[in-house]
Amino acid sequence: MLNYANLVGQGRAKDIGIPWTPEENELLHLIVQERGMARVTVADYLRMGDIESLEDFDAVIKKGIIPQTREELEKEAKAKGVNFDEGTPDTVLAKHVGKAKEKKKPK
Amino acid sequence: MPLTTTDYPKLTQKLNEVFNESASSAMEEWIGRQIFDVIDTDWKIYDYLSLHGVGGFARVAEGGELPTVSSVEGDSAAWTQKRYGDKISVTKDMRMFDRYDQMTEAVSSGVDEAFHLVDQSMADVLTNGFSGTTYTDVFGDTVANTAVDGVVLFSASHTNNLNSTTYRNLIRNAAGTANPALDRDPIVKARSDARTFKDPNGINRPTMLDTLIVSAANEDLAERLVYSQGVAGTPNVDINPIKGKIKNIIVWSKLDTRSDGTNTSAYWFMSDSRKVKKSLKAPFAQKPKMQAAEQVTETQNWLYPIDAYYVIGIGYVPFVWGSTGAN
Repeated sequence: MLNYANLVGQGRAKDIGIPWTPEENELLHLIVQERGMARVTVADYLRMGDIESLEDFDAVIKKGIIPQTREELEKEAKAKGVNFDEGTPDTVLAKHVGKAKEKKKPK
Repeated sequence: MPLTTTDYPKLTQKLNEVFNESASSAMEEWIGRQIFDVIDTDWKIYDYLSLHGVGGFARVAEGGELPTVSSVEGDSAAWTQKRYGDKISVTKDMRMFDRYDQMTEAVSSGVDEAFHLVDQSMADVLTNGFSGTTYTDVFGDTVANTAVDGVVLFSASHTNNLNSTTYRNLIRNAAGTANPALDRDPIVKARSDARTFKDPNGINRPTMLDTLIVSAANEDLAERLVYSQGVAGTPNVDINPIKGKIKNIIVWSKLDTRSDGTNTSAYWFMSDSRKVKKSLKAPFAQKPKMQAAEQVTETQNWLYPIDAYYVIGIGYVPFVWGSTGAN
């Protein structure tokens, strides 16, 4: 088992037990290099999903979208009735919160 | 004829001799030992730490305090031993009619299989080191193919614990194309890339790639590229500079086909023979070993367990480089 607490904290892994795929890792470092941003900041954006290129990243930044903190994510999860505990990885929680959003759309 | 439990020791000794002879032979064919750090350990959990460029060595003023080197700069991992094994069955018929040929064949074949599977599990680490984040190993387990930095084994962007600098161990050619086919140009480029490697503190720590690791399909090409007097495939009289620089060609037939059936014969690798075992770890709590018969079942078979405990871990990886040969 790798030291995921450290890797995630430094933006070097997607989540606890979940490494970046080779493609995500390359994109992360491309953005760091091209946009001069910190690795941890870029990692937070990539964890949101739906960013597959430098252009996607630029579009997200242009829209002013900011990655949610864990606190904000938990608050939204509670509001939508998503069950989780402290050990639930951010990406997993975000995915379920996202799904909960989608379910509400048809109404 | 060994029929009763009082004959256990006698037959066990005989079969153990067969086991040891077979194991000795199998060890010679175990290619993975040449690049993996096959060590004995008593630890169930092997705590690994790589210090990839600790910055502490500095100018000290007269009477000043020496800076303390901290392991915070490195990456760590904990690898847990797994048990593998099977049982050799010596039936009552074999013993009743003194069919020692069958008994010894069962043992030697079992030993051979154990070592070949271990070797395949090591080859699979290399051939699965280019994409995804996990793979199914030769035993059917899902295992990670990421190094201690959380990045797939062969990558153009390996990370470190200190800052955002990256390093590569994915082979490219002079034009910058990754995963080139085995040829002189990418060998030269990989050697150059490896020699200019800088640690996270920006200090050049040259990796000397002096070993070429190829599949059986690439054996002939590898030998022509490395051992030719002149540059292979050219009519000129130029010398072949890599002739003396690649000191060893390891031909590993388990690289030809991955255990999932994928043809990986074009894959090729390079390593620094002095340091590659820092990258590829295989601590064994127990190498394949045969125990005395454990029980007489209702069938009156005598069962001889063969088992091993080991784990494979991918450490700090600038000392092993790879290419799928796809380009």
